[in-house]
Amino acid sequence: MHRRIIALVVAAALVGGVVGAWRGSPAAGQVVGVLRTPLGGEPPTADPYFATDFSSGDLSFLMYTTLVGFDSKGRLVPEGARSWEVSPNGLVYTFHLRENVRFHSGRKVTAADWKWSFERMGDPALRTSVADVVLAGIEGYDAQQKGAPGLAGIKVVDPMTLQFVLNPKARGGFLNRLAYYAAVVLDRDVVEKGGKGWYESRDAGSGPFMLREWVHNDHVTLTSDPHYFLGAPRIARVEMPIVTQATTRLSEYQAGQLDLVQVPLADFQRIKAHPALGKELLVFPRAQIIWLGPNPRVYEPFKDARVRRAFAMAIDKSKIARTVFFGFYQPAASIVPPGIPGFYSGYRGLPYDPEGAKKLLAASPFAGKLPPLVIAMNPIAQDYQMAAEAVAAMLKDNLGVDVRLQKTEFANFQQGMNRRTVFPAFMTGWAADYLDYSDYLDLLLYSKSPLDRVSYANPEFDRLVDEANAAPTEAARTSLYHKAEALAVEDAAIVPIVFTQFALLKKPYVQGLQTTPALSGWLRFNTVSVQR
Amino acid sequence: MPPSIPAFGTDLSIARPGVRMPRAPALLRAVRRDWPGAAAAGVLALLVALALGAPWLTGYTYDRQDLDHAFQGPGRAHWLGTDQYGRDLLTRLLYGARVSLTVGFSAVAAESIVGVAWGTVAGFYGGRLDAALMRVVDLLIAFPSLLLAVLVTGIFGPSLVTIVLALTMTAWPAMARTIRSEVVALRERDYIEAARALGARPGRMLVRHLVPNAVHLLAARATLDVSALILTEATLSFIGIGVQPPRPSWGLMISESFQFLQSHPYLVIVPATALCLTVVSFNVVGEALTERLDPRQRQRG
Repeated sequence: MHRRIIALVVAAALVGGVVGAWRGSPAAGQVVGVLRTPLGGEPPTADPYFATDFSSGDLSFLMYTTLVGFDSKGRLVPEGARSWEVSPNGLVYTFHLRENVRFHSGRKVTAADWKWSFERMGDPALRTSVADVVLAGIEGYDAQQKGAPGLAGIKVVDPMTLQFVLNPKARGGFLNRLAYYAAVVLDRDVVEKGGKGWYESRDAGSGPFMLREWVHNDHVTLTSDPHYFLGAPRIARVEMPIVTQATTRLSEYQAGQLDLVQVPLADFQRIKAHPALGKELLVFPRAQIIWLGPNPRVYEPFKDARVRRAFAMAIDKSKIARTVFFGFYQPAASIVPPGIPGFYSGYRGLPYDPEGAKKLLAASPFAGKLPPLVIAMNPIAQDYQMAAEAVAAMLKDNLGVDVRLQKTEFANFQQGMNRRTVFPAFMTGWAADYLDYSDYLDLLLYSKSPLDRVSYANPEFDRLVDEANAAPTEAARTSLYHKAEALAVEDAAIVPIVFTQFALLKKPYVQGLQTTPALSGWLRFNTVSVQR
Repeated sequence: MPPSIPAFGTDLSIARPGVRMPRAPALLRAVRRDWPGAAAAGVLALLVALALGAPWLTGYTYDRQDLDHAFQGPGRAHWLGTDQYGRDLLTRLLYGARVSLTVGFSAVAAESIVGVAWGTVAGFYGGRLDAALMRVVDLLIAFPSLLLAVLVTGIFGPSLVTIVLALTMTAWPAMARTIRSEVVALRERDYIEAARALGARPGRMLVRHLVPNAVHLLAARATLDVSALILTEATLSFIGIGVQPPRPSWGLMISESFQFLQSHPYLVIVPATALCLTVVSFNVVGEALTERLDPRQRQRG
C-alpha cells in the first residue's frame, strides 16, 4: 500500500514534469525579443553561394550582407556599400564601402574581402549555383572559367573602395544582380579554417543575425549581432523550427508557437473570414508567375506557333484566378510579374477566345489529329497542380485534346524539365531572386540560357534582349524588354497563367516587419520588434 | 431405446426454436452464424455493383469541371457535393472504387498465380529446388514492399498496369511462402502416399491433390491481400506515383483535397471513409473465410 502511494506520487511528478516541459517550451519563447518563424524544410546548405532553395535562402539572407539591397518598395538601397558611381559608358562601377561593416568575428570588412569572396563564387572548381547570375557581366569572368587565376574585372582601389569593370557585351541590370541575396561577402578566415562543411557550426557573415545553433531536421537558432552596421536588431533571437507541412505551420501559429508564417492558398478564405486571424493576415503581390511550358522538342505540334497560340487562347486565366485561386491571384497577360520595376501594365496579351483557338488549330496541319498531351506538374507547391488540373480540363473542353497530368517527385521534375527532352509540357512557377526583368526574360527564354526549357530560340527575341541589355538608359531598356516580352507572349513560347500573391500571418505583437515581393516575402528582421 | 431421449430432443427444440432452423436456407444460416462477415460481404457486393454501374449512375464524368460551382455541399444536383474544381464527388468516388477494385483484384489474381505455382513446386519437390526458390522469396520479403513499389513505378512510369505489376511483385512472395508451408504438410499425408503408390505422375498429384487441398488457404489469404493491396495503391496515389490526375483514385482524392483539410474537411472525409470501409470489409470477409474454409478451424467453431 505504502509502496503504491509512492509510485503514484512519482508518476504524478513525472506527468507534471512532462506537461511542464511541454508547456515550458512556448513559455520560454515568450521572452520579449524572440521572433519565431518556421523553415519549410531542412536547409541543404548554409553556404550562400549554394543557397537556391527557400530554407537556405532565408538563412543566408538574415546572416549575410550584399553591396546593395532593395527596400520594401523594390527600390535599390545602399547595403554594404555606402554609395557608388557608374562611369559614363556604364562599364565601370565604383563602390565606397561603409566603414562600420564587421564580420561576426569582429573583423572589419574591406574591399579585399569582397574581391576574395566573389572570386570564390566564380571558382570553376567549386561550381557555385549563383556565379552565372551575379558575375557573368564582369570582365575576366569567362577567363576565370577557363582557368585564369582570380577575376580581373574586380579591383581593390583602396581598403574601402571596390571597383567592377564590366565587359562591353555585359548583361544589363548589374546593380539589381548585386542585390541578389546570394551576392554576399564571406569571412575568409571562417571559410578557409572550417573546411568543407564550414557553415555547419558558425557563419561567415556580417548581417544582423548570426548562427547560434543548427540541429538538423529540427531547428535553427540565430542570435542578433549588436554591432550590426545598420543598428543593433531589436530582437534577441530568431528561432526557426523546421516544419515541413504547411498545415502544421498554420496550426502551430494558431497555437501560439510561431509568430510569422506563410498561409497556404487553401486556407486563404477561411483565415480571411476568421474574426481574429483575419486581422493578422497580410496579403500583397509576389513577384511570381505560374506558367505552362509547351515543349516543342517533345510534343511535335508545339513546333507550330499557331498550335501554341491556340492552346494559350483556350485557357480562361481570369476564371482560373477567380475560382481555382479564390480571386487571390491575378490573371497573367505578360510574363514579368508586377513588383518587378518596369512591369508591363496595360498589356493585354493573348485573349481568352475558344472559337478563335479552334480556328487557329484548324488552320494548322495538326487539325483533328493532335496526339494526347501529358502535362508534368511541379510538385513543390500545390498551386501548380491546381493550375494544371484546371488547364487540362479547359484544353479538353475547348480544343478536344486528350490532356493527361503527371505528378513526379521534385528532383525528377527539375531534372526532366532541365533536360528538355522529357516532358511534352509542364506547369511550374518562377519567383524573383532579385527584382529585375533579366531574372525572367534572359533566364527563361534567351536562347543561350541554360534555363530556357522551352527551346524558344527566336533570333528576333534574342536581338531585342541583347539590345535591352546594352541600352543606355533604364527607360530604353524597359521599352525594349517590353517588345521582347510581347513577342514571346504572342508566340506563346510560354503560356502565363497567373501572378501570385503572398499571404502572411503575423502576430499583432510583431512590429516593424518590412515586406517584399521577392524571396519569402520579408526583408531582414533587423527592424522587427516583438512587444507583448 | 429409452423413451426419454427423443423427448429430451423435442423439448430442446421447443425451448430454443432459433437454434436448429431445420428448413432455413443455407445463406440465411450463414448470416446468422456470422453477421459481421455477412454485412461486410454485403458492403463489398454493393461496392462492386456501384463501381460497375459508375458510368450510368450519376450523369457526370469524373473529370468534368464546373469551376463556378466548386466546394458545394451535398444537394439534389450533386448528391455528395462537388470538389475544389466543381467535379461531382459521387462520380469521382465511384470511379475511384473502380480503380481500387480493379487494381486490388488484378494484383491478387496475378500474385495468386505466381505465388501458388512457386509455393507448390517448392513445397512438393523439396530439397535443393525448395531451398533455392524459398531464398528468392526470403530476399523479396526482406525488401520493404512500399519501396519496391516506388521503385517499379519509378522505373516504368506511373500507369494502372505498372501499379498492378508493382503490387504483384510486392505481394506474391508471402503468398508463395504460405502455400509452400501447407504443401509441405500435405505432401506427407496418406492419400498423397497412396496416389504415389498407384503410380500417379508428380504433375497430376500437384494439380489434382495438392492445389485443391491448399485452396482454402489461397481464398482466405487472397481476400485479406485485396485489402492490403487497395491500401498500398491508395498510398502510392497519395504520394503522387500511383494513379495520375484527372483520373480519380481514393488515395489521389485524399491527397488533392488534403490542403483543404481545415477549410473543407468533407472532401477528405468522403474518400477516406470509402477507403476505410472497403479495407475493413475485405478484412472481415477474409477472416470469415479463414474460419469457414479451414476444416481445422471449423471443428473448433
